[in-house]
Amino acid sequence: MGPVIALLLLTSSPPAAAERLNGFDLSGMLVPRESVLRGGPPRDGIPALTDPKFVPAERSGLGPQDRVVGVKLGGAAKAYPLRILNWHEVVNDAVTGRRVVVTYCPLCGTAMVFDAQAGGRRRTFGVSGLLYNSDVLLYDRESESLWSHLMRKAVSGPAKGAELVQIPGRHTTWREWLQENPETTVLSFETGMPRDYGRDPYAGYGSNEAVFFPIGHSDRRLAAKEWILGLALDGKTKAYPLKDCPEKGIEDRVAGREISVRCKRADRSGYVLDKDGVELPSTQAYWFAWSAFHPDTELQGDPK
Amino acid sequence: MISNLLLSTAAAVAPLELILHSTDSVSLAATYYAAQGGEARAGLLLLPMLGADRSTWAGFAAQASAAGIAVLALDPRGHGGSGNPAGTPPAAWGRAEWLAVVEDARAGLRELSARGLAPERVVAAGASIGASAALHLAASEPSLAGAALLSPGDNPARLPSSAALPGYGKRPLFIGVGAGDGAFVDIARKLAREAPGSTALIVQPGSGHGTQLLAGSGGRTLTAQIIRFVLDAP
Repeated sequence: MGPVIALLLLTSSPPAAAERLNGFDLSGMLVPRESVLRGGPPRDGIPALTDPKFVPAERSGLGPQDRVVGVKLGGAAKAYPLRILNWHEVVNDAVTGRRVVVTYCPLCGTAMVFDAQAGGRRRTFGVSGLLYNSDVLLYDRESESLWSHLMRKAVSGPAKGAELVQIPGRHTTWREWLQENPETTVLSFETGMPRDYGRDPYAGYGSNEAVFFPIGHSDRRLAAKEWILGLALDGKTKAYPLKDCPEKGIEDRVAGREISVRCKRADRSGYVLDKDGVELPSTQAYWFAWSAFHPDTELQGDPK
Repeated sequence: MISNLLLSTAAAVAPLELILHSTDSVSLAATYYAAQGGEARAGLLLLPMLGADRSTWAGFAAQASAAGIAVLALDPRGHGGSGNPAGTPPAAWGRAEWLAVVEDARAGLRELSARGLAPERVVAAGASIGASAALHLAASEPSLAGAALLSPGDNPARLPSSAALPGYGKRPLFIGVGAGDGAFVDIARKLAREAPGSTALIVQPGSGHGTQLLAGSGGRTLTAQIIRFVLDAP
C-alpha cells in the first residue's frame, strides 16, 4: 500500500437533528445527538442471531487463520467466527446457563462480550442501524433503548445510563483458540440466514486507512487502523499496540492495580490478567476507534 | 465533529470507458470502475437523473471503487453518450420509453455479470428517475442484492416507484432525499412506509436532489452510508 492523502475536514454547525431515527427515541441522549448517524443498512438490516446453533470443533469448517471471538465461562468454551460476525454483529447466546451477548463492530474492529443481564433485566439485543463514533449502536428489544458498544452503556431510551458488564472474550485465530480450548464448540454456519459466509464484506478495510464515518476525536499517535488491546479499569484507560507487545508480555500498573498483558503477535491476540491471574475484560480495536471513545487514553510506549 | 476521510492514492485503477448494447441494439455509454485492493466485495450499477449523465456519479463511484466495490455507471438511452432511438428529449417520454431504460440498465447488469459480479452481489442505484429505474430493475430481478435510491419519484406517467415495491419484496432498501426537496420527501417517506422489507431512509438537510445530495460534508456521510449498505447487502 503506497502513501495516502489525509483530508481533515471540519463540518459546520449541524442543523437541528430529529428526535427519532430508525424508530428509536433519541431525546435526551447521553451522547451528542448530531453524532448519531445512520450506518447505511436499516434497523435489523444486519440481523442479529438469537437462536445460535453450535457444532463440535472438528466440524467447524474453519481454517487455522480464520479469526474467532472465543468465550470461556464455567468451563465451557465457545468460538464465534468473524466470518459470521461480519454479517450479523450480534449473537444472543448462553454459556453454561449464563445469558451473554457477543458483539462485533467491523468498522471499529471491536469484539466485545457482555452479560445479557443489564439495567436490572435480561435483554435481547439487535443492530439498530445507527452508529456513534463509527461504532455500532445496539438496541435491546425489551425497551428499544440504544446501547453504545464501546461505551458499554445505554445512551438513550428507558434504560439510559444502564451499564453493560463486559466479560473477557478473546479475539484471536481459530488455531490459537482451538489449541488452548480443544473442547470448544463453534457457532455453526447454518444460521438460517441467506448470507455468503465465504465472502468478507469488509475485505481490505483493515489494510487501508479509510475511516468511513465521522468520529468526534482523532488521535494521531498511531495510524488509524493500528491494532491495539484496550483496557478500561476503574476509570482509567490504556492501549497496548499489539504489534509491539513482546512475547514475554508486559507487567504494568493501571489505576493503581498490577496487571499483566499477554500477547501472541502471530495470532494478533492479547489478554489481560490481574495480579491473581484472573482474566480482565479487554478490547482489541482499531486505534482510531479506541482513541475516539477514550480521548485521554494512555498509550503503551508513548513517551509523554 | 471531525470528519476524517482518507483516500488512498496508491493502486487506483483508471476507470474504463465502455460501449454496451441494449437488446434492441441501442449503444449505451458506460464507465466501469474496478474495485481497488483485490477482488470486488460487491457490485454497484448507477443510473443518472433525468437529462443528466454518468459523470454526475464520478466522485461517488471513485469512493465506492476505493472501498472495494466494482461500479458501472451507465448512460441509459437519451442520456450522455448513449443513443436515442426515440428522437425526443427524455423529459417528453412516457412509460414505454422509461421501461426501455430499465432494459438498458439490465444490459449494465449483464456487463457486471460478465466481469464476475453475479446479480446476488450487485446493488442497483439511481438518482431521481434513475432511482425509479433502479427499483424497477431490482423488482424484475429477484436475485439482485438490493436497491439504493436518491430522490426517487413516483410519476404514474413515467416509472412510478411504488409500483415496483411488491416485486422488490423484503430486500433491504436505501433511500436518500433532501429535506427541502418538496414532494420528493413525501414520496420517500411513503416508499419507506410501504416497502415490504426494512428501509434505511436518510433525510439530508438542504434541498439537494438526486446526485446533488452527494456534495458537501453531508454528501461524504451519505456516500459512506450507501457504501456500507452495499457492502452489507446479503
